[in-house]
Amino acid sequence: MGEWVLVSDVGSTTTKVLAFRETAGRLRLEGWVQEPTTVEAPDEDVMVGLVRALDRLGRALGCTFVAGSPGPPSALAPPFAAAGGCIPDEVHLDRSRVRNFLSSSSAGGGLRILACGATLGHTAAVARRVALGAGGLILDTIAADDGRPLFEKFSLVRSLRPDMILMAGGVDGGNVAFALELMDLLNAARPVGKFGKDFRIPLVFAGNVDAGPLVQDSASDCFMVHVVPNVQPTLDRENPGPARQAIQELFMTHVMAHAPGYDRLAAWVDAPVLPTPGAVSRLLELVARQLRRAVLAVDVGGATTDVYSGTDAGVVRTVAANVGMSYSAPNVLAEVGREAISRWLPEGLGPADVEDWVAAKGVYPCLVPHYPENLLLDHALAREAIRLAVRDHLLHLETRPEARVAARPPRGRAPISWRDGLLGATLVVGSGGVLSHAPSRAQAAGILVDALLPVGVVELAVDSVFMMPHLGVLSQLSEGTALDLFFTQCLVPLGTVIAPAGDPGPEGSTALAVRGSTLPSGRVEVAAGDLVAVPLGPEAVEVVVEPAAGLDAGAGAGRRLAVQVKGGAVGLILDGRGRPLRWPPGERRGAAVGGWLRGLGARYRPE
Amino acid sequence: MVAEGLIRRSRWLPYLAEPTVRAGDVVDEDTVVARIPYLPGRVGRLEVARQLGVPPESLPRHLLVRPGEMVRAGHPLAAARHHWTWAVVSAPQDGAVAWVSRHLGYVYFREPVPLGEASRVRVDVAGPLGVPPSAVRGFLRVEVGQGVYRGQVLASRTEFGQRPASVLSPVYGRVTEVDASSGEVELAPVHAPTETRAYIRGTVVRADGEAVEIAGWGHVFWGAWGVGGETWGRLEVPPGGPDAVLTEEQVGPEHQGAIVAGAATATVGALERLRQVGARGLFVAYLELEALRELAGASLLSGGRGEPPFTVVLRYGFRPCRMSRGVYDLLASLTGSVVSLDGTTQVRAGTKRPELVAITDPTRTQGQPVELPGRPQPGDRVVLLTPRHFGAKGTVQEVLEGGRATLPSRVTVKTARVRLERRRGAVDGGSAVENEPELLVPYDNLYPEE
Repeated sequence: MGEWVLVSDVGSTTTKVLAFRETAGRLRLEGWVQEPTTVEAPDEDVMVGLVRALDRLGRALGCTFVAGSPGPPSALAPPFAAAGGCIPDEVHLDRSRVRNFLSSSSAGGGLRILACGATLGHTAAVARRVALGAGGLILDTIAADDGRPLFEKFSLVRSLRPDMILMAGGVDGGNVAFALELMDLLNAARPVGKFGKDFRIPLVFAGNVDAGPLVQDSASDCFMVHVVPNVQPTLDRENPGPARQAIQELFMTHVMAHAPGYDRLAAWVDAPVLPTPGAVSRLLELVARQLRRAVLAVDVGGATTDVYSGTDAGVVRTVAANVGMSYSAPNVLAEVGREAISRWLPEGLGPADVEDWVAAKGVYPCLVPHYPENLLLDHALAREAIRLAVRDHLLHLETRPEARVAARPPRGRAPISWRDGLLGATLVVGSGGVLSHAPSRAQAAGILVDALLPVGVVELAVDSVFMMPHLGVLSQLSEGTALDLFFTQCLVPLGTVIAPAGDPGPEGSTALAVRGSTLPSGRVEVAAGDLVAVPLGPEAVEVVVEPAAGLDAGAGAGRRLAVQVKGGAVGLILDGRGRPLRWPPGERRGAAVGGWLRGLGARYRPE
Repeated sequence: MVAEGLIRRSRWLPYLAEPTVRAGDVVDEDTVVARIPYLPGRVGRLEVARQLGVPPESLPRHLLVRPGEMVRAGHPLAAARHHWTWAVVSAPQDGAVAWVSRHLGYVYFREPVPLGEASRVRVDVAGPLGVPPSAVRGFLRVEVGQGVYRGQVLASRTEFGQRPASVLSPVYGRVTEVDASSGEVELAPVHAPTETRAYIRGTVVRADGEAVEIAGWGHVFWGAWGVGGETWGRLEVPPGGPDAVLTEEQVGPEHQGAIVAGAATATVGALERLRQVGARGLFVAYLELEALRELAGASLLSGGRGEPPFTVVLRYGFRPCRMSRGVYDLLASLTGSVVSLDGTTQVRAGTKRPELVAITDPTRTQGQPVELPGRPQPGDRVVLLTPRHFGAKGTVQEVLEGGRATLPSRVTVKTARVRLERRRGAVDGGSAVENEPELLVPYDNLYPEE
């Protein structure tokens, strides 16, 4: 029996493997590596990237995790690198070293959807919204009336290689001709999915109920038709839920399962391969149950931003499909405008710089902040991306009663303020490269505080190396171990933010004071409009918050609040800016933002 | 990025499309390679199994036609024998067999609309509604200029005690006229072009019912970003070298129908002049966002739906930089030849980059295909994408894994040490490059040069 527990997450772009080993009766993270996921050509086998990662990790830790290789461990990578998708059959996990191997995956490479509808301006637009809401990437939208020549539509359908097709159109009892015409186009075009000709492309029909049987009847063998309730059963009602759910389920069960090499991956693991977001949800539910408090997690990706709100009653996840830091950066700019992003920038940078940076990212999505000004622009963009994603999450909860139930705070807790209160969450976990890999934790804290503008007393943390999916998978073996690792090695506490709501008073006045025996001089005062961090260790200590007359920290306007807080990498973050946030006028705005960053210790320029 | 090699481009065909070329034909860019002799009309369903009196699942055994086949009115579609008699279902009209039912026993039938007949459709409204022609306007549910879809109500009449009556649009199109003398509504269908062209000069290597494929030997110049569809024209390279800025004065009538390529950038005045003279495309190192906005009438990057009057391909992006000397010289050597330009850009899905294609030997159909260059390696020439140094050229000296070197932003990523080239022009690189023979650059901020 081996001593190592290996957990991988085969993501759409990278495959990350973590190695754990038992020390003094507890699993500890010993190392991790990531390699590009090899779902696309030339390898077209997720196992290639996985074996490369396992090999590299083994070498880093001084052992081998993969056996049956054609050469010695040090020679393992080159043959695979050159093999172009060929992992020899005899290659297997070395079970004398590996006790357990588990994995999550989203290696379908993203959900690429072709949206179709009866009319471009109406039902195709609805289909597009539904597909985006389901986390899909819209390849194109075609409609019977889109005016494009048939040749062009054919080339389009043939060249796009969609993972899935969503068709909508017609109110229930209305027109069915559009469905037949679109099916005729699709049948004749015979699109090929990215997994090859043998892959039947799921076609979700969410249109006129009368057309459903005809779509099923007329679809060629290229398609696997799933008829779901109409996204627009009547002209004045939209019903996106069933279509969205079908898209997500089909992606997990059908598209992702067809990722080349997935069957072999499934044979290697000791517990079912979980979809990556499902693994995160599983972990957060455990965490919320353990803590008996509501948790909000934000994972800012390049193309999408996931938001999870978890309580002991369950986890609700939404995907802001067109909100992210690379591919979706132009969408964030389009949605909020350049002024909204530039307001988070200190002096010397402005709206034109924002547009310039985002334009560059629109062309080169993987552009990395090279200089401090690039990093400032990226972090300003992240603030607005998170704001957008969380706004969508709250809207989703407002329109979904069942989700509201799942997201309700534990019994006996304060009622939820849907718009302002982060769902009552008192722990916020940030994840994704821009947060996890920010050069300083204070920068990550600044992004989270500004983006979420928490009210009251809220703990902030980041995922150290984005291992939440791994721990979610690991929880299949041992929930206790997954939680232990989450709190000891995954979660990097940034600190607690104390942010009273209301008017902080005139400039120069004291917005709040905090007393505590572990604080510098025993008492810290924060001026109105300031944001400061004071060092504080991660142990829980009691402090007394004394807000100004117009501010409410949780006990009422101007009333003292005794509360337990924990510090962290940043410390105790005291926000004297009030809520809603008031922006200093004109030219003073940039100086104020610079002051906030300095107050947090979020230095961007080298010493 | 530039590559020389075998270039192949496919034109996928809808069914009933007819290739107008054969394998081995040498074609020009604007050669029509396939044509559809009809406009796609209504798809209907014929209850063939029921009419034959056979179970739906047995329908394929009784069919006399195949999907995609064109038939004339009265042509037998399926037949079944019942003792001593035959039941036959015939095509009710000219059309194409679109698809055969999987479960319900239908034959789906596409009614082709012959070319020319559908250029305008006149729909009688007064008759079906039972109203005088002069009163038709009062019953209309659409107005002139409005887009309509097939099946949309054009006019209706619902009066107490009367049977409701409505008139539906038979086509996707636009309302062009309401004729009060005849009581008719005129519609212009949306479908128009029914031909597809070669796009590149070359030899037809495949021409069947599915696709026409053209191959030729030449150069592909990839851009980073583009807008506008496929076009082609005579290549015009402005004088002045890779630093040159195309100005209004340099654009003249000789640029009508031309692809103007090679300059570092173009002024707003030059863009307007290119539009006026009818240039077909522009391929430059960069265009400033504001200039692009002026040209397209909207911000294309941030969700705008503007469409420039000609295809634009930017080799590097939106910040000042010069064209590569090698690219400029190569383009200059091709001046006067016809080149193809496609601005289609899909950065995320499929990663389709825009391109300028110059075929030098249209008859050559064998050899190494052109491929997008891979990730930069030591010794490769690259362009820097970091805004402060945008467009500066250099050669990769060393690639360093994440954590081995510290960037000014203190972001920990894979980096590359790049030896920078001395430059003479004034438009690229920024001052920081001037004094730095080598620079540590995020690896992802490098773009392969030719």
